[in-house]
Amino acid sequence: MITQEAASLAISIAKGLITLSRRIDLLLAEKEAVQAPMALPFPSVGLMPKKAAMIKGLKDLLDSTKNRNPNPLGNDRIEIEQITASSGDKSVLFDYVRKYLPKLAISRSFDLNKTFIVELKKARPGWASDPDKIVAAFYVGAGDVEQKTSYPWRIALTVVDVLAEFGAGNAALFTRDKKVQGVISSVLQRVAVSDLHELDSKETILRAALSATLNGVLDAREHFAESNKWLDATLDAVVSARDSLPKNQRDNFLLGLFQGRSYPALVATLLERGAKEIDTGSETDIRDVASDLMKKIAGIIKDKADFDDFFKAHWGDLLCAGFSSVEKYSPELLGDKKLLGQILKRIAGDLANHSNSKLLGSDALYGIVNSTAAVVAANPELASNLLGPNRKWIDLLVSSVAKTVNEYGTGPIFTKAGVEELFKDAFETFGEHPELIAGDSELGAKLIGDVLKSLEQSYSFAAGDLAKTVVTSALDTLAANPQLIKFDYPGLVASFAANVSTLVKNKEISRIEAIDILDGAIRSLAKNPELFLKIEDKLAEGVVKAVFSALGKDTSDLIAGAALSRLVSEVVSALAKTGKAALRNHPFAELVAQLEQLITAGLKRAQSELGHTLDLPSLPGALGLLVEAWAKGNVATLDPENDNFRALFAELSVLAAA
Amino acid sequence: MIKFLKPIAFAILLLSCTLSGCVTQQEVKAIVAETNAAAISPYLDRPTGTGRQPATEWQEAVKRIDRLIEAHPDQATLVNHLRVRQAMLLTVNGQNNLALERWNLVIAEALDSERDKRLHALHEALVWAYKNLKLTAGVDIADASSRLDSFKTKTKDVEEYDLKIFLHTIRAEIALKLANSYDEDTDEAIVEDLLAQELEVYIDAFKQADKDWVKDNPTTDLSSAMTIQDIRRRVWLREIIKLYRAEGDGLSPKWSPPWVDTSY
Repeated sequence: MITQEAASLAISIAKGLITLSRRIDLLLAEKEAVQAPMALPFPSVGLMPKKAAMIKGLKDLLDSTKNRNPNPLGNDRIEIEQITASSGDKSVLFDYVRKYLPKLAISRSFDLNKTFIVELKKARPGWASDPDKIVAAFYVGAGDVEQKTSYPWRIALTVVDVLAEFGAGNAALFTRDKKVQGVISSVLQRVAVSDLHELDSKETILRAALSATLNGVLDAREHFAESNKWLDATLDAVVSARDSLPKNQRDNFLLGLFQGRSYPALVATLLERGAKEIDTGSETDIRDVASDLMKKIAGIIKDKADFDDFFKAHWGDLLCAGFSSVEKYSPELLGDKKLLGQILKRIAGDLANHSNSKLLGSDALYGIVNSTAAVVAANPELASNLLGPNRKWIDLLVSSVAKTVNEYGTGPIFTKAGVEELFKDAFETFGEHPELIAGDSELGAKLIGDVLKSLEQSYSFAAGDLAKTVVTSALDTLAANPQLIKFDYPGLVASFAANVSTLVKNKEISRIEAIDILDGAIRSLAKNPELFLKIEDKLAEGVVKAVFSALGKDTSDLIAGAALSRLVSEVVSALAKTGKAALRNHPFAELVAQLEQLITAGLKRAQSELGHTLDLPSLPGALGLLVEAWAKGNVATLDPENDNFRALFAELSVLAAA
Repeated sequence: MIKFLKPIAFAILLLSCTLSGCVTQQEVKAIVAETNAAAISPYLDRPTGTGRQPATEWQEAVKRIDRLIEAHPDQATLVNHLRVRQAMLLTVNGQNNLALERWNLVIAEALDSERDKRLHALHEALVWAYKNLKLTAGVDIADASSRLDSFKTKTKDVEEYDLKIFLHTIRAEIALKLANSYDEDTDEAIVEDLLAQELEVYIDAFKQADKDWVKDNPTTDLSSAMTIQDIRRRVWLREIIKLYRAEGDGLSPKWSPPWVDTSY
């Protein structure tokens, strides 16, 4: 840490330098010339063969050319005979070897550069085609750089260097905007070291901290405020958490935190929250939450080094999600009980329990934190119990999400980002209905997993869109009908989705029609889940089959687009109401065929009734009423030309139109 | 008319000042990239008939540095560090006369980095090494001994680890070449001592983790989990040990540490 005065001086110098662009250019050029790495290959080395090998080679040569005419060795033969017999001077021996045995002469040459490249390509096969990486592999750093400039001057140069990377526009913003200067001052005061001799080793950290913070600041430019207490508190927490590690690990830890992808987003979030002047959470509360999380993470990394990259990349996501949940659910999360800190620590610990958590990204983590916070915020009096060490619901939540993302997020149909987005949306709903997650913390993962599995099996290019619709509709329905939790509602909607997805794949319906059908039908299925799940689990599938078989035979094209989804919903609703009666009157083995016949007859009648007792918008309703009447046993014949059928359909049409 | 042109001229001047903001820095960055590529160029795989030839690459890089130095003669630190880079590029490309000419222009007091100071201090020995080590014939014993002495005195207490290993590896190469230039029949004891002493010094230069790995893995492939720095240090250490062992074959050097004798 440095004093405010030193930071201010560095800022002043940096401002001055920026206005003197020519001078900066030369300084930065000088810095590059002094500090840039240099690619240095070794000299190759030629070695003479061992003396014994040369004598043997030359003797073999003498023998093999002994009786040749003309003699290929000429006058050298006698000298070679003498020198090999007397084991003479090594350099003279080598002269003859070079002359007559060139392969032997170079047999002991070596080149460490070539050996290194061969080994490098074995260890990093991907590098073979990238000359830049091969060049970088030969870099030798500049080492210690003798300092001829003062400490604030050097820090100012670092500031200028970072700002130069952001371009002229942002550097100009820095010279005139006191708020940006304030942010930089905050970073300098916390990250720049007070010991002059240590600056070289810390400069990388300072650069990373400045660069990442400014990225976040520029993302949230409109939210600048005079007070940056959220940002200040988090910077304090990050720096103080560093001390919880052994000395030799501290700098790497700090550098990793600032280089984590989520840090700039966290800065932007903090500035935004600060700008809204949320009346909750003192600077101390914020610092404590961040500090608790950092220390927990430092401890985890110490024990589980393989989580190092994950937590350094995502600590900002966890904090962002945590602060967002305070705003959404309850200021009490940041109050005396320090609930948010406990929640984040608990989630971090549970993430580290499952090795497949490392695949989770920002959206999934956001969802996990938000839904957990929602449950705790809804039950503050039970917080100590909910967050107690023996309660496993958060662990189950984490593991089920990680399992689902790993299982489906890397397959050929769904992307990791797509699956995580499903979780994010699902957990938004959970946030509004914490009782759902409190009842079964694996519910979200089960629903999403079932849906993805069913859609993956009946692949269509629209699987991602369909999955989103199914999950959203099902969760809305679950939220409105919490009693559905006792049924395997996720399994039911997944099965229904698979059937509809197959229709898209077979190009019988469009993606848009499928989305409408799913949205409506999933809500209708909830009207009698027991029927569709327990009494006849193939009924929903049968409805889809019957409706689309009937439509396939219909030449009038009366049902399409929105009417199609309404028809499916009406039929499902009708059976939800009267399904038990339908099954009593029509054994399931015949039910689907009869239902198809019924809808075909209804469509036939509709052609005649249109304009008399019926209009097109009322047609799905009329067919739904027809299905209800049939289910109750009130349709004696399925012949559309039969007088009784005519009379009944006309009557139902009037009812539907009304 | 002149009144009308004044603001335009001012705007052009302002624009050019703004645009020139980082020209020198960008030029130095380009020089760094170009010299680094030119130094390693002979070792890169190049599709036949594409790209520039290595000889052209170093020549262009050398000219580019000359031009930049000419434009900034009063920037001592900038100029002298670029001179070191230029001289080293000429050195590794075997351009001995040109290299010595550039090395002689460097003012040691203007150098700030440990690497460039050390390279400059050793420049005569380096130019000699890149010129002579590649020759298969033996070198002049007195000449090679003198270069080895330079390395012995000027590589003490190098702090930057990679620089230390780089310089010690060249020292090990010079010592190996010197040992090879002796006649093993007449100078057996000298060769044995030279090989044993220099290999011990070389191994000592490495950190314990590198030594332990090389001791335990004389033939294992290097792992993809290692850093590039780990890989190169370990490749070099393992290779130099093997080369020293091969040079000592038929002799009886007292290898130290003892694992050199048992593992390799």
